[in-house]
Amino acid sequence: MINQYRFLSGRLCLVCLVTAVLTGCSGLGVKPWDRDLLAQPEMQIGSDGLRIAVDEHIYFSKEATSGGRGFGGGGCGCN
Amino acid sequence: MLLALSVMPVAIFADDTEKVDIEIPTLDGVINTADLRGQVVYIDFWASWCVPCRKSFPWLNTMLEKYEDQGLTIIGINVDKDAAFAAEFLKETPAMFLIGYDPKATLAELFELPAMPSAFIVSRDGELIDAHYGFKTSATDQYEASIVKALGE
Repeated sequence: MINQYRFLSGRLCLVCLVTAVLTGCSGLGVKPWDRDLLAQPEMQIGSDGLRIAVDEHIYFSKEATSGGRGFGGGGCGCN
Repeated sequence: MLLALSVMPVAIFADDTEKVDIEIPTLDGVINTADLRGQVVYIDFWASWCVPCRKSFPWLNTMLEKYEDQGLTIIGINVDKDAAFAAEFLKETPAMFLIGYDPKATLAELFELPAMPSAFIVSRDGELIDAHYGFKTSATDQYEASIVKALGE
């Protein structure tokens, strides 16, 4: 009886886990009508646009990273 | 079951009929699309921060001017959280058509907007017959054609 109970609760846990894994990230993402919030100044990574641009350029061309934060090149410094 | 849930259709329709019955709040009341049977209703979702929306307004004004006599009603539904931004936008980009407000995105959720702007055409008998997402100046002929088609039906 106890074994059967364990077996059932184990299966229930498995079902819950699988459901959670399959659906866990399905509700993420910004809705098109919510993008105004992302565009607010307080939602930006940095406060100074010029500084971000310079940092980005260094990442992208000098640091041998694969395109810096975006994906623009191989870090050879040639582009 | 999960698959079935992910492909559930847009639930804009009252019961099982294919009619679009929605109430759109405006500044001084409510527009009920059920009252607009007999008209072709062009529903356009827009926001103040959306550049293509700004481009679409003059075209929408032209469309209204051109086809109002034939029974076209245009309703622009604003989805800004703050109506002040919408007011500012409307001052810069005047609209000759009706403007509704959906700050809590109830209607936006209902129509499951994939992009801004999103436009829907409702036929004279209240059926959702066409939709386009985004606004491209190069595709206005196509948008106009779908309005003309709806007016002719």
